[in-house]
Amino acid sequence: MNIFTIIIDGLRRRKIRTVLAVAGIAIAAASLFSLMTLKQGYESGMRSEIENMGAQIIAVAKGCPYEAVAVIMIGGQVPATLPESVTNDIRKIPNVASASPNVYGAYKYLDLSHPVIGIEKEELALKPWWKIQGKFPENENEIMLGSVESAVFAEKSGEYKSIGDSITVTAGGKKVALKVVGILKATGSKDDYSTFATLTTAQKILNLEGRVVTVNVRVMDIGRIPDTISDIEKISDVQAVTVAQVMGTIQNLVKAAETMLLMVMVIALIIGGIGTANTMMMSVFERTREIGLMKATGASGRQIFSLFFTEGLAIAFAGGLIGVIAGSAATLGGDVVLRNIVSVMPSSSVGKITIDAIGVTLLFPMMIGAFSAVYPAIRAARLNPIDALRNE
Amino acid sequence: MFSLTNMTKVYQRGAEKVFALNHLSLDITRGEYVGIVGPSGSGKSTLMNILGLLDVPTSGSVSIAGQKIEDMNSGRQNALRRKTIGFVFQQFLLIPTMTALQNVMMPLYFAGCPDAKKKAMELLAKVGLEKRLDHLPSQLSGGEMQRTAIARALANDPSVLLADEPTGNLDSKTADDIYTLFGNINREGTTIIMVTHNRDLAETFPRIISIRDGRLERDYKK
Repeated sequence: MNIFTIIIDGLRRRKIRTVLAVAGIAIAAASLFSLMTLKQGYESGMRSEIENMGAQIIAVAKGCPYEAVAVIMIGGQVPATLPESVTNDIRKIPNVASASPNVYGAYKYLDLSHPVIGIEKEELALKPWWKIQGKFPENENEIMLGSVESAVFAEKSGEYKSIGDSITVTAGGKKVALKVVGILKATGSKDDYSTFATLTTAQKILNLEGRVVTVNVRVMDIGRIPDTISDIEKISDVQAVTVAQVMGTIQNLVKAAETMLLMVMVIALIIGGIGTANTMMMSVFERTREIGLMKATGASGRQIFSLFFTEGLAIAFAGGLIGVIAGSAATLGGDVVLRNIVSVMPSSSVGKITIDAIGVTLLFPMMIGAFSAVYPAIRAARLNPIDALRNE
Repeated sequence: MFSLTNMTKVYQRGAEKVFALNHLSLDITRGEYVGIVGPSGSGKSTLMNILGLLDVPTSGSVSIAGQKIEDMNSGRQNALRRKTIGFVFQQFLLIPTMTALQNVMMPLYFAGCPDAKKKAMELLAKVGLEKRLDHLPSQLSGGEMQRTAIARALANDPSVLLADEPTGNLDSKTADDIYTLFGNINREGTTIIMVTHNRDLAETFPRIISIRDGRLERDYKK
């Protein structure tokens, strides 16, 4: 026999109330857990997307630059474009190490829309982690496919098997045959779902001749980024944002939503704690004689206290544990749900289960459990055995 | 074992003071078998509570096993009670959802006994319940429940058993068995102090203390 024999015996005698108290905490803990994990997964996913862009400053047409960059990151299309000449203007700015123009758009193939990115070969310098099988496109109507796209096309289309084959796509209202000359090996980012072509090819098939969507800039001295931005913005119709600013904006949006939700979760947990306090109080009242008997047979006030206190912690711990399990399921499913609701999502799954989230989800309910069990446990410890034994 | 000198216990009932025990003096030595008799409201239960260290007198002096209880804090009183005294109640007071064995193990757990299971099995064998270890109280007869309660009272090897009408809920045949058990326990050296309403039975005890209105009416030793 140990303390848990007595506690489990007590809890078993009021199964329904125990289950309800545990459920109250478990629901709140599960919500807390999935909120934390989804938020962390979203942030780290977005951060890795930004790092995969390889640029420090992004120049776009005037409008909402954050939205533009966010949309580009997930492979969407931005309506506003800049004249191609802007690239050379930016290259002339001191502190600019490289400036590479990009166009973004989409073509239709196998009845689905596929993102296409037009880049110049110097963009490769921004992405040293790229591993290319075959070669990077050099000539007109040559393309490189992301690993996932390549695999899907090879499986579903009759005409494409591997490098050297062509695919016939619809873009800008006309049919065009594109020759696959390279495959980008898996990167874990949205690049795996993209098609790459030279700037010229992309401009042509997207009807964007002479236009670019972004100019991705790397600087020589990171400390002078603010000066460089104001130099870039002197060019008419051009706006520049740093990757850090984009990340900051996303983080602020996530934080605002998170803070509100977190408050709701905390309130839910406190309500769960009140439920625990209630069931503990009932337990003390119902077991008055038993407590008297325990004291008469030699239990000290401290032992009685720890008996009931541990009982409260056990309810909270069970709630937290179920919360982690249910929350893990919700987090893994939550990625699918969020993809249908949120427009800007990183390509990797946001449903990542972290040690921090498990720790918080187990510890926070324990704290609540401790708070709610203290008073009933003190009441039990202070019971006078004579009164308790007289209670019929 | 017990030495009570000029002991008074006063309860406040509204504005009125009730003398549950009124200047009572009494000595009980180790190994005695004492019956306490008296009408209800005479102060028997109050006396038992004080002897069992569950209550303290309003005035006067009580010493148990040579130690004055008025000098002790509640922690030391608790330790002395655990070491010295075992309780047997009229309603048995077993925990209904625990087996006989678990009920006997409980005081051993509170005392921190390392070999609780073995000890509890020995105690249940001693009261003749070695075949009922895993039975719940609801699966035991009245006599078996009281035997379990006696085994529990003996758990920490007390020098005194305090029994408050231990056969009040039992038929006379079963009651006789229980008295035989108490007699055996007493012969092994344990002091037994038993409250009873049964005057005939009390006459068979080696010593009878009769209480009325909180005062000692008669203290008769054979």
